[in-house]
Amino acid sequence: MRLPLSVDLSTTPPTKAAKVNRHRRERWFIVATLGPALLFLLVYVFYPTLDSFVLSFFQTRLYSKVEFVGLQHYLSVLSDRIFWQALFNTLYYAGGTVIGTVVFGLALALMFERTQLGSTLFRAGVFMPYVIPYAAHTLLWYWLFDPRYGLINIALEWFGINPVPWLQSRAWVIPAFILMSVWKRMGFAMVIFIAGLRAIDDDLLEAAIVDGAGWWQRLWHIILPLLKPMTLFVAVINLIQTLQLFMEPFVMTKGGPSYSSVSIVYLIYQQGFRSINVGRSSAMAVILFILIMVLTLLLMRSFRTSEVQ
Amino acid sequence: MKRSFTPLLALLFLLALTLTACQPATTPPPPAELESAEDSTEADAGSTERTVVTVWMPGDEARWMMESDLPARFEEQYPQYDVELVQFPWDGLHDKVLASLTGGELPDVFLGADHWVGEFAALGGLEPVEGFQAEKGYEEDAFLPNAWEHFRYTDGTIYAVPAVFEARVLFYRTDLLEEAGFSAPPSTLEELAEMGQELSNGVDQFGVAHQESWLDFHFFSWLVYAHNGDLVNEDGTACTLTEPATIEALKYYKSLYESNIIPLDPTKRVETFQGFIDGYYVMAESGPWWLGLLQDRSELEGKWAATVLPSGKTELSYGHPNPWIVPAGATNKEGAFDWISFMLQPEIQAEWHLISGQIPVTTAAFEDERLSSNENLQPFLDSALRGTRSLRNVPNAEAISEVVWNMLSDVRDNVAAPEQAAADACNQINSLLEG
Amino acid sequence: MTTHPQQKVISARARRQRIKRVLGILVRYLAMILVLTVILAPIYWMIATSLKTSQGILKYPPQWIPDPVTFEHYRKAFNLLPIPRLFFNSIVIAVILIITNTIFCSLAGYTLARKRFFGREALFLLILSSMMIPLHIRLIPTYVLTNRLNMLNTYQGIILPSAVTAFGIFLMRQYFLGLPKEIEDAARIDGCSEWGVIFRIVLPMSKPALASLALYTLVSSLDDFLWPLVVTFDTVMRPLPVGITLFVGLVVYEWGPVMAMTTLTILPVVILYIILQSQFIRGLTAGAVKG
Repeated sequence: MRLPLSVDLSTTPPTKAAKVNRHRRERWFIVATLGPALLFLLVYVFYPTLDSFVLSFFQTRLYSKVEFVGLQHYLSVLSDRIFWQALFNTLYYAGGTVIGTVVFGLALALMFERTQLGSTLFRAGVFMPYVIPYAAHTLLWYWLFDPRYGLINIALEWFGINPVPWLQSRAWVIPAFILMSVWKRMGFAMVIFIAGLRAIDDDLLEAAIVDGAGWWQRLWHIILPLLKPMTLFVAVINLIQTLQLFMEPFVMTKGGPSYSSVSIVYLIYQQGFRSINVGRSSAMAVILFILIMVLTLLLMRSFRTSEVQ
Repeated sequence: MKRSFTPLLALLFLLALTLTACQPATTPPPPAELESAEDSTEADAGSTERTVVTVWMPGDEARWMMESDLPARFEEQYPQYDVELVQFPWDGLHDKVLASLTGGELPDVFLGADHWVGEFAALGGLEPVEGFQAEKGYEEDAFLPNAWEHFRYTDGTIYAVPAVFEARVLFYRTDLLEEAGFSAPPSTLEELAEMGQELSNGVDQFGVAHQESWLDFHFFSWLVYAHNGDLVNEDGTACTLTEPATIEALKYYKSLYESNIIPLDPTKRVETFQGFIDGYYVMAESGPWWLGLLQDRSELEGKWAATVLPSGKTELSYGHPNPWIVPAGATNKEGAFDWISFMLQPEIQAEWHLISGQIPVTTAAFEDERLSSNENLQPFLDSALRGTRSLRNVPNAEAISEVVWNMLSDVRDNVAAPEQAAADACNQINSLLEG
Repeated sequence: MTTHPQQKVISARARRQRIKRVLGILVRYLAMILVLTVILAPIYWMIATSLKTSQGILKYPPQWIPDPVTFEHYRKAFNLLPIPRLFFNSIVIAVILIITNTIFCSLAGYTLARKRFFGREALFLLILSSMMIPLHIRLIPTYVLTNRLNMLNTYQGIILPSAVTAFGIFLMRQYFLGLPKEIEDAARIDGCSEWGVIFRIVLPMSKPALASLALYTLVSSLDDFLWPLVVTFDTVMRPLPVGITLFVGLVVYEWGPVMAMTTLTILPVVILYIILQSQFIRGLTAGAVKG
């Protein structure tokens, strides 16, 4: 006899046994569906994260703990000039990319939201860089930034600008990373902003035009505020990703020239897998984790307060 | 509707299948007919008992070895063995051995980087080789200088066998040198600076090639040893970049850039090999792999040659042997050492050179006709005979090299004065030397 | 008929406005073409470089159209790396990840959306918070764990840490919340078991979300670099992106083969993308935009 599980039937009042049975089956169902997912998350996300915290307080030999050293690793990391350089580089890169992505994505969305014909083609084309595997993307730009034969410097020369030694120059290496990343992400931002723009009530804008509001005022007072959730989403996603900068320094510059392109994750990898100082590497990982949390929360809060206004 | 568990079961089954079916590709197949596991030394005539010798090799070396007939010849000479050759990328090999040292599959022998020896020996993971050396009667002077000594660890034991030799020479464009009126390449550092100056026009021709990262580090190492300086002290416990001799070398390095012998403007620093081919760089310090690359370029035939690096206060230059390493936990050590002794035979050493372009480590190999007729191989031998040095038995050798090449980058781009840059670098290096 | 003077003025203004509008559209289209060209130029350049001869690549001023076209770099790439094997690795990893993610995330998402139980909200927040945990902080312990489980350098080792993602659970839960409960209830009245409800009713209705999740997982797995890098040692176990990157040293002797490898890496995804691009875009922007 098949028993219904969650609907009360007035015709057949369920017996007590049936109810208990039902509860048991329900519980078993919940465990069976949530169980595997939770198991994976526990084993591969929560446990390793906690373990990293723990490891950061220990002196390690290869991958085992040797002795408890308290905050020694943290002090060592925070007094390391290279770590601060990495921090600076990472923040510089993250800030530049987030701002660039939001600005260009928004600009593209504003310019091209209304076009009908060819919009699918355009959208697909602008979005394509986002789906390119990151490793291929990095290698491609490695070639594009070649000082002599790379496309970027060739293009610059058309405009009469001297070639820039992108990846070999302390001043230009992070801007190079930013350029690459904005290229990759602005399509993504554009799509989200277009959806946001489409959701804006046209009547609102019409009313503003009637009131005599110019283009800039419409943008600043109506469109941008209404796009806040979208902007926040794009900013937060990009912030979290860019703070984890790794591939570019790893593939293209190995942190050079002279540490001007090291990133925090690059140092974590180096300490963890090349110099094998696991305790110290974990300390750096914890610091970065805290940094990401704090910055993300700050970002979200700053959007919320301006919304209240 | 039946309660259907089938989807769930199917899924679990699929997962189980996947997990158990996926085996790493590097697990060597269990040796066929393996009876006497570890030490089957007797080559029983007619017996089919063969043991497997697992050899791990990195990068291109692995590929060349696989494509050659050397493994087959080894099996002919030693019928009791089956060679299992596995290829790894360089970093992968290092990491795999490291992980395996804490419990995992180890190869019987692997080709490594010289600075790995100190690192793995510190973990107690390597098999001493002096017994092998004595047994086979390998005399020091049958090998290039320092070949065995380089692998003597701080506890006094030698933990690896030299396989090939790394040395650097000066490649130069004979045609461009002639044009400028020079009949011979420079033999001292002063001459290098003078000639370099003459040969550089600051636009599309420079006397000496610019190098990046590792290669820059080797270039600088040569200059340091030529100035009778060193990067670390005798027992590898302190950084000596701030010593007067090394500072002199650093200043000389800087002067090459300042006088535009090597392009001072970063946008003019073209890639080394391409620059040499284009005649953009007239001279370049480089290693044996260029021999192969240059031979492929027919347009350069007859227009280049190699010579020993110019000397300074000493004739020393950068160089070191690269090792065959036998892990202490290897299962077939007999096979491992037999493989090594096969690879050290002079004809095989010569063969390997022809296949890989790498420099043999036994002097007898150079007498092979095919090698002695190659005049471009001679400078490498001469360099080795004059004496070579490099970092050895220090922890974190790679990280230290990185610190040095970052320092070089600061010095040549005038971000820091040589003394200051060296002091900064020594700070970092000293903490790296603590391990 | 006399033309009213007013009419003449109006029509003149109307004409001017129409011209302005037409010009505006023209300018916009030109801008679109310009933007599209600038954005896609790198991709064209990559493919062109892979087809030029070595001399053609290093020509200055640059050769815009490969002439002669050569496939030598592709041949060389295949010689230098076991590309089909690396390809295969990437595919196996991606497919299995898609399967595990779609199944486990759907199941979990369903229960979180539909079943009430003690601590459900807290659990959901916990799962959500794990979305914010970046990879690097679990890198080393996961590596140690994988080593202990003897899964280093295996497919399992690469796959398991990403078999279930919090984002997937989040995505499916949100989607399920939007489905009408009545259909599920009706099915239950008809005597359908809970498992039946999921597999025969809800999942078939969730094709868009499942497709989004699948595409998201696909792109993520191809982007994944650091984990496959540290967990694999030898070339034959590496997925394609990791394999080709490690081939490139700090000094690139030949851009031709590198660009050939890069083109091969992006080709399948791009082809898939061209066919399915609206699903791709929907899948990858899911979470911010509905539909």
